[in-house]
Amino acid sequence: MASLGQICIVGAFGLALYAIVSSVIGVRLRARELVASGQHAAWAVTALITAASVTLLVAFAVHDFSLRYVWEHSSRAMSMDLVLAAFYSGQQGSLLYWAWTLSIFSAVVLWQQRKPGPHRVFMPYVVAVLMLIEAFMTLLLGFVATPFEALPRPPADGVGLNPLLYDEGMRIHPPMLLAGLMSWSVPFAFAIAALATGKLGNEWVALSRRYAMVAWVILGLGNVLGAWWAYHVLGWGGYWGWDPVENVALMPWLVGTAFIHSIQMQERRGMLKAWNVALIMIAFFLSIFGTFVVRSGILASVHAFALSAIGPYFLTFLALVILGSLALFFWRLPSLRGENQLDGLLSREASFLMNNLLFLGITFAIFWGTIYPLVAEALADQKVSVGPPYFKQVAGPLLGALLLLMGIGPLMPWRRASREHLLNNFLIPVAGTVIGLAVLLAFGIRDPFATLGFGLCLFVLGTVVQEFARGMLARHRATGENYVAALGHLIRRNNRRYGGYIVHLAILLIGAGAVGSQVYQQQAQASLAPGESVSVAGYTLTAGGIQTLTSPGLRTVQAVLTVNGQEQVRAEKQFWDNFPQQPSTKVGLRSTPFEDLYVVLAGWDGDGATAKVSLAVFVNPLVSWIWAGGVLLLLGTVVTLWPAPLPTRLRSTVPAAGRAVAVAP
Amino acid sequence: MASVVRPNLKFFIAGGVIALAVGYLVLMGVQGTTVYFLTVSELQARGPAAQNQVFRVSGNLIPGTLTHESSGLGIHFQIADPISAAALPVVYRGGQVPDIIGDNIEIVAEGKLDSQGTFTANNVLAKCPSKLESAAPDEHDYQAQTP
Repeated sequence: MASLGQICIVGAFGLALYAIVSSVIGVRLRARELVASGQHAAWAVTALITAASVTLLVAFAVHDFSLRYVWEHSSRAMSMDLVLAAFYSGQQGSLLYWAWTLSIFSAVVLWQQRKPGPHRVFMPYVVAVLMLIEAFMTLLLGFVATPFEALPRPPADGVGLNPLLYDEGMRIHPPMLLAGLMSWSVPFAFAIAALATGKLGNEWVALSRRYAMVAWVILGLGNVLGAWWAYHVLGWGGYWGWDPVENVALMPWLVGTAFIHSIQMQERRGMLKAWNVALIMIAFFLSIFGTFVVRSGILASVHAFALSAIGPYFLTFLALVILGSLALFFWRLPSLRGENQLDGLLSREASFLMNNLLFLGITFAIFWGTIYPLVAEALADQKVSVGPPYFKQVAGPLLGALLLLMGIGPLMPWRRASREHLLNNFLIPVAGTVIGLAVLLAFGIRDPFATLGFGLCLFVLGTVVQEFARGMLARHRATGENYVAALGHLIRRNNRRYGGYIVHLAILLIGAGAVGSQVYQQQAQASLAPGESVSVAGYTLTAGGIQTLTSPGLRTVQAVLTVNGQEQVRAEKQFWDNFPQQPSTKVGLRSTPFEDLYVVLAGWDGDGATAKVSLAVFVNPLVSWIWAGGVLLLLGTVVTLWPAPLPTRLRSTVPAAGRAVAVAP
Repeated sequence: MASVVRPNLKFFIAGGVIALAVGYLVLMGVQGTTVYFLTVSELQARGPAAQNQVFRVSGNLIPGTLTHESSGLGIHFQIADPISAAALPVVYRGGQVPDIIGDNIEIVAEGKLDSQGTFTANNVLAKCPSKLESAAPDEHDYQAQTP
């Protein structure tokens, strides 16, 4: 088993190198066979890494503890789905998972771009870039951090997963986040191909837009899922701690968001060509930086993995990639001039530009806060820590400005706005915001931060609703369709635009959830004997001692609490036999659309129904809006990516009674 | 030409304003929120000057010193540097006590030192010695497990 996996990886490394060389030499010498052979090699790399990954999965499934990695990360007591999830729970396995996702992305690109066409000029370079990253991964996997290291005498049982990872979150958050980081490779490869070929027009942007959107949504969901996992497992009542590892996963997403906005400037107006190339490069660099931080343990974090030797390799790779990309970039800079100038400050272009600057500004602020402890220690020999207060203080106002821009931008016309246009477009959303704020004030919202945050959210909501309503009404008048059909067709025909608005609504939900839970969280602590109660924000929790449940490999201590005399909430501590000193928390959660009751069992004294329990109780408003935002984010992105229908022009030429006549233009 | 150049000037000004705002926020943020990260002896070496300023202090929990208050969720313990014996008493009433807190565990506490020399923490982190990864087989009792 071990040698089969190892052979596959070393083979993939060799073939990836071959694919790079034959693609680049092939395109330089115009030797079609060489280029084709490079692409075949890339397919073979996918096949070999898939084989290696399947080998490791099988080793996990059959509990082959002769593999050190399997022994370290799984045990016989674990359920099969967690045993399989243990695949990516450690250093070597997550590297293999990365290599695997990258190889699958490469295969998808090869498959989608297989037909002849103008995009073919990019493909040799795209293959070369993707295989270069793949070669780096397989180099690490084959020679530095192999998941296929054998143990001389196989132990009878494995160590098993760390208790923190025994959770539903484990099945979905790590694979999403890791794939999200890796998926920026594809648009990056297209950007490098554009620089290498000198074809810096709209083609590469049009080709990479979809891949960038997919990368964006995977990474975005990975982050939301991480927040959700932290929320119900770590037990501190929050979902985002501005931990270095969270920050490095957020940064490429922020820059990627800037990219998917600014490429519209290039598609529509031929502007910002150099900027777009630079943005996707930064997004990719930050992804590699993220993998480096996660994997090197250089920054202290809840995610810190065992220190390992691969940090320097990542840093070297990152440095080489940055140098190479910058060299290409500056070599081509003269051809990256925009075709148009900016007209007015009140225009769509200006909004996009401000949006980009704000996204980069937030990214810079987060980057600086994340690495500042390293800088301070290196330059001033002073150990410092930069915590959530910094990030809240710095990112808060910038995120607020972005929210404002999210309302203004879509209403701005291209080129420049007239006074009538502004009045016509902003009257309703602004009026709606004022009315909405008055309602909130009537309900007792007084906090300035909350008022500002909710006000901005209402404004964006107003602009989005207005856009949908106007489009729907116009279509209803023009076609006579009923309102529902008109709305459906509107979205279907203009999926990029309205899908984008749906994503804006998703961000709005996340923003409102963040504001609500930041400002209006309430908490209490109490030690309660059976029958005693504690009240927080209208909830009265009555203690009823503890229950101890045992299942193979696991002992669970459960505090059963009665909420307002009716429902029960159970807050748990789990003790896994393989990590007896490290209990893990399972939060007792009762969610409603407007607030969560969140109960953490901090300790207990005594046993059974007479035990006294110590609790930390939180009431977190609007947190479920954040998760709903995550779902809507996915939905909106799917809408934007859905293939557009045939142009109406062609359809309308079909005779009423005939069918399938009009195909030719 | 002038009519083409002028609009871009507006954008440079607007962009510059954003860049300055970001720079200002970052500078103020770093100055206002950075917390010094000290060892127990470094903190004690600062003497009374260290009182009423927020610090992060790290040390190992001295075995046997961890006690829970009978009411509420407060905990008391002492931490010390691995090399020196001077102990720092810590009190924490923040609620969520780290799951792995215990003897000899490395603790990072954030809070203030009072005039009696007790460190009142508003945040306590416990560093898991094996992190998220299990330790290597030679650290575990690997020999005992092999047949």
